Amino acid sequence: MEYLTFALAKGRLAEKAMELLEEIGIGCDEMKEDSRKLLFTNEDIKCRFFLAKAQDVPTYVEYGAADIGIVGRDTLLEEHRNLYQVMDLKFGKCRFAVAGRADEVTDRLNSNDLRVATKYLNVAKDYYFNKKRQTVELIKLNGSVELAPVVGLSDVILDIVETGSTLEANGLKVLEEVCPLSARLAVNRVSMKLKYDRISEIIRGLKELCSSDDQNR
Amino acid sequence: MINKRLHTPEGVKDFLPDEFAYKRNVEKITERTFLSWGYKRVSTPTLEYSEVFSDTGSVPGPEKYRFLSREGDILVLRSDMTPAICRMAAGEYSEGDLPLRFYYVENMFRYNEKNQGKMREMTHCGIELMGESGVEGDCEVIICAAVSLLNLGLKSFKIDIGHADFLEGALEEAGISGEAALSIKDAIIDKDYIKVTEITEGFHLEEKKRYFLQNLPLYLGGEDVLDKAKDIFKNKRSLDALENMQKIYDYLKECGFEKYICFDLGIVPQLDYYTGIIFRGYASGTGYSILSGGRYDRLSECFESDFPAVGFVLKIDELIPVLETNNISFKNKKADTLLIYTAEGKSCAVKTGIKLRKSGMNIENYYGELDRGLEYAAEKGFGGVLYFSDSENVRIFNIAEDQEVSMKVSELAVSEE
Repeated sequence: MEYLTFALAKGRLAEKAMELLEEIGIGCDEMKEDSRKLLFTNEDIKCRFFLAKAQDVPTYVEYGAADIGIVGRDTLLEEHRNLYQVMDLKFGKCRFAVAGRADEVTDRLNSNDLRVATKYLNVAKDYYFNKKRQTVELIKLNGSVELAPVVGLSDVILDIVETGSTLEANGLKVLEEVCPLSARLAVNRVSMKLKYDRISEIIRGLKELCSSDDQNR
Repeated sequence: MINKRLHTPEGVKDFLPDEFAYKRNVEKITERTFLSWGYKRVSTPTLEYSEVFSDTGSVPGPEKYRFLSREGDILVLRSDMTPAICRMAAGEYSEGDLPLRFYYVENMFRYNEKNQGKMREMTHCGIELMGESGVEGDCEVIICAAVSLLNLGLKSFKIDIGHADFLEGALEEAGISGEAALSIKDAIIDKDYIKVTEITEGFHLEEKKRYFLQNLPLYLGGEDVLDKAKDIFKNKRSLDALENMQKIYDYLKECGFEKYICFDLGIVPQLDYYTGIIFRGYASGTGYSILSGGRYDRLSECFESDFPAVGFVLKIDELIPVLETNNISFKNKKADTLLIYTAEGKSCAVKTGIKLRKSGMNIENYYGELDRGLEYAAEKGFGGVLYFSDSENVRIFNIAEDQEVSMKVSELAVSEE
C-alpha cells in the first residue's frame, strides 16, 4: 500500500489537528518524541506526517507531495491553489478584518483614497477590487502589520483578528469584517481519486467527530 | 533583475536530446495509436483570431496570449485545439463527409499561474470524432484514451467521467438558480466544498439533496454512484445524464474497460463548450490531470455548422513525469556508429560514410586520434567505430563486446537502397 502523506501547518494548528486525527485512529507516536526529524511515519497504518510553514502547505498538497493538508483558511484564500477544500475542521477560529483608528478613517473607508497595509495581498485585492469595487492602494508587509497605521504608513490594515487585544493595545479598532476563518482539510486532486477509499473514510470520520463535538457544546 | 539574453521566459523551456527523444517517443507511440483507430493528422495555424476562442466558451481571456496584428485584429496564440479543428471542419467539410476523425500533435500556449509547476507552452496530442452523436462515439473516445495510456506502458490510471448536464439539472431541481447557482458552480470548480456547504445552508433543501451537494467529492465510484444519484434527483435533465453514463458504463464493461473508469458527479465543465460527458485521466506521478475530454455537440454552431462531436487530449508534459515515475523507458532501436579516419583515409571514409548513412545507419564523424576516439565512443555509448587508416583498409570495433576486425574497404558490405 502506498503511504498517505499529511502536511500540517506548524504550530497550534498541527497539535490540534493531530489530536483530532488520533481520535479517528490516525495517530503518530513518532511525532510525540522530541527529535530533529522532519518526516514522521506510522508504519502500522501506512501514514506519513510532516510539519511545514503554513503558506507552504497548499503548495505541498497541490503538487501532490502531500495527499492531505491541514491549514488555515487564511492561507488557502491567499495562496489560491488548485486543490480540494473538503471540510471545515471548526478549530483555530478567527477572522479577516479591516482595522484602523476609527476617528481618523471612518469617512474614507469606502473611498478610493485609502491605503491598506496587509500580509495578505491576494485576499486584500479580492476584498477591495472585486467585492467592494474600490481602487485602493495596497502595501505588502511581512509582519507586525498593526504598526502601519500607528506610524502613518497606511490608513488601515487587513489582517487576521483573533481576540482583538493586539489591535486594542495599539489604539486600533475593527472597522469591517471581511470573512470568518478556521482550519481546513485540503486534499490533492489526484489523491482524491487514486486514494479515494482511505481519504473518504478519513473525511467521514472527521465529519462525524466534528458534528458530535457540535452537539456536545 | 535578470539578464534576459541568458534566459527563456516564464513557462517555456529547451529540450535537450535525451529529454526530447523521450518526448518524441511518447508522441510517436500515441500517434501510432490514433492512426490505428482511423484518425488522420491535421494541423491548424499557431495564430488564430481571438473570436475563435472567445466566442466559443474556450479558455478564459486572461489565460490567452493575445496581441494586435498590424491590421488591427486581435490574434491569439492557439490555446485550445478543439475550437480550431471545429472551425476547420465546419469550413471545409459538409454533412455528407461525416463522420470525420482527426488527430493532432501541437503546442498550446496558456498563461498558467507562475511557479506552480505548469508550463505555458505545452504539447497536446488529441483526437476529435465529429458526426457521431451516440454512446458509441463517447465510448470510442474513452477507450482510445485508455488504450493510448496502455500502449505507452502505463498500467495504473483512472479516467473520471462526469456529465455537463447532471449538476445543472440537480441545482435547478434543488431550486438554486441565478447568482447562487453560479457561485456554487464556481465553488465546485475551485473544489471549495466548504463554500458549497455555506451556500446550500442558505436554501431550504431536502436533507438528502443537501447532503449530496455538500459531499459531492464523495460521490465517486462505479455504477453504484449513478444509482445513488437516481434516488435523489428526479428531474429529466439529470436523469438523462445519468442514463447516458449508465449506457457508457454498460458498454465499457462489456468491452472490459470498466476497471479504468470511475464516475465523478462533481465534475463541472471547465470549458463552457462541453454539452455531454466530460472526463479526465489521473495517474500517480503528477498532481494534475494527464488527459481530458468530453462531448461538445453545439460547438460547431459557433462556426455556422451543425454536427455533434467528442474528443480528448493527452497532455504530454503532465504525462512524462507519470511515465518516469512508473519507470517506463523507450529503448532506442540502434546505437550510433563513430567514424574516424586519417588524412590518407579521408576521401574513402567520407564516401563510404555517405553510403552507409543512406542505408540507414546513424554515423557521427570524429576528428581526432583513434585512441581518443575509442574512449569517446565508449563514454557516449556508441555501438561501433569505423577507422579508415588509409584508402584501402578499415578497422571495425565493436564497443560493447570489445572486439575488433580488420578488412579491406572493398569487403565492407554496403547495402544500396
